[in-house]
Amino acid sequence: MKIKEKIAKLPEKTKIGGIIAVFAMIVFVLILFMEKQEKNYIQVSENSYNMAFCELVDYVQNVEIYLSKALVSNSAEHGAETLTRVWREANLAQSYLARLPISSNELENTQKFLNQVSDYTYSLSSKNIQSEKLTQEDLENLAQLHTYSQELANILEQLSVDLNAGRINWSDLTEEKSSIFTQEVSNLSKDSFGSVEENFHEYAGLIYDGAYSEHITTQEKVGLTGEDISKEEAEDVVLEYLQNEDIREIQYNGFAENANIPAYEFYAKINKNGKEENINLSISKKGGYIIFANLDREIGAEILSQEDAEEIGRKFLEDRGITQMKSTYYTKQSGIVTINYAYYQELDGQQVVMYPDLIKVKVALDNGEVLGMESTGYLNSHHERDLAEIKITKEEAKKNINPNLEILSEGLAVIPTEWKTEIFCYEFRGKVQDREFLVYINVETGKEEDILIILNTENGVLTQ
Amino acid sequence: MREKNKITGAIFLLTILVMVLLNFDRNHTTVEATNASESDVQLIARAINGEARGEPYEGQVAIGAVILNRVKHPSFPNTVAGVIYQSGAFTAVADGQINVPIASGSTVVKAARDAINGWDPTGGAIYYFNPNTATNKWIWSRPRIKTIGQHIFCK
Repeated sequence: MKIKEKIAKLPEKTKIGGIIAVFAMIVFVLILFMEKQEKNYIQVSENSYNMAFCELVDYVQNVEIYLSKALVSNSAEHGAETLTRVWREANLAQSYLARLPISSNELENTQKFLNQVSDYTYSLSSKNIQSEKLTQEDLENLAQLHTYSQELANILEQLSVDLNAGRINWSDLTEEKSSIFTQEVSNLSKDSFGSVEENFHEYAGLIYDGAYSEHITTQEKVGLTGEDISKEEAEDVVLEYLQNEDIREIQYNGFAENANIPAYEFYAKINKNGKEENINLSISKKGGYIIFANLDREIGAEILSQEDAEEIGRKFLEDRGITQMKSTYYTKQSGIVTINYAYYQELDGQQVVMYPDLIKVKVALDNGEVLGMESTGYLNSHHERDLAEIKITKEEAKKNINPNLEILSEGLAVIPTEWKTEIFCYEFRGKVQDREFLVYINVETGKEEDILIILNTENGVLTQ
Repeated sequence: MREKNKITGAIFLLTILVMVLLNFDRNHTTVEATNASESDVQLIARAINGEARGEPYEGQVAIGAVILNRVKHPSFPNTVAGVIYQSGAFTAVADGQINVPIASGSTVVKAARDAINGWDPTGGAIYYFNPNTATNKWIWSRPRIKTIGQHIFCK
């Protein structure tokens, strides 16, 4: 008998029962399948968390070991090697720390500690590479960092015992409960860690040559000069900026006291060819400078060239009394070009480009309208510089350049370092095998300070 | 006739099964790789898209600025990807909103580019939260800088 006939012969009830049974089975299989999938995903994430944790433990232990070696080392060469290791291990440790499923604010101090160990030892190793010995102060800082690293290594060691005994379950941690780990580690940062936060406050005044040194954010803003202005005066600045616009409404959005540069915030609605556009402006309390202005709109067909845009931007700055600005690089996005202008100073008839004194101007390529400006760099660092005496001639400087570099142009420039200091350099633009480079040679020491690659991309001319 | 119904029913159920399975998989596929030189712009744009696609333009630039402020800050990872994918840092990462494709005509890529070019509407913020939905009490204790759209930005 064929199955079909069999089914047909079955009573109606059984048939419905059969359909329900089949349906139930499908649902059952589906649930089983999904459960298995979920289990797999949980396992995969557990594994990757476990891996990150084990890596973290290892790297922190290595930080401790190499820091203690660095404290004992007495030769600059070997010291540099050991410190480079600390840098590497601490950098990897912080990267694995960030992968643990613990919210960032719980481990902020630990993260900061590892970042600063990494950054500080990097700066000390470059000191050692130049055959400078570490000072007593450096050694004291290292000893202090070493004590922290020991504490951290111990606590992590303890936690890894828990982990190996199966007492830590990462998927529990991702839920918003307080956990063994966060409790341990926040205790660690409060008590046994010796209050990392408090101790790092002592570093606030310590100026080491590193990107994560505390003084970077608190540096004096030398370009921000003048008297404090009132909200009404700030509004005048806004009106002046928008003098050629059909203003519909100006809205005050409060005073941002805690901003890097305390500022009055404004929104303006302006009418552009029958369309209402929003522009927002931030005006510094001190001196009444435009920190930034920004308008976003859709851009029509591009009819302007890069050169036209550069000229428009330069004119725009000049009209606002910002003169001696030279366009350096630009980026392009959706018909808008953003041009970097750097201040230049004359020295014996030569232009010295001050790269830190930077203003960016956004120009729309459809009608040449200026859409915005950003002047944080300029406000942070603009001032008339007392340039160091040039001790190396251009010819001598050229001798320090790789002979394969075919020099295309040469000039003078002040370049910022990663830690916001400045170096006065010769700037050589050159080519090696169709790749363009900028090479910076210190005018006092002849040292090669930096090399940048010029990238000509469809999104602009960038340096890296 | 009944036979046919049964067959259609079975096919229907099978289709649902297949669709569920496919969907299940789709949620977990990794994001496609982007052009290396542009990858940071694209990643930031996707993060903005996940976190603030309904916000005003300035609010979108602000999200990008917070990401970049974190990269420069000692208490956070030192790369764009490190900051964005840090555990518990962004809800858009936790709930997969970051993988939602960017709509055509969206301003998020422009906003990401502005943030990379230095526009920082937040005045140096490293945190932000939506006061209507924030569950973390700790976040309220951070020094405020300003409000942009739905978000309060703080140090």
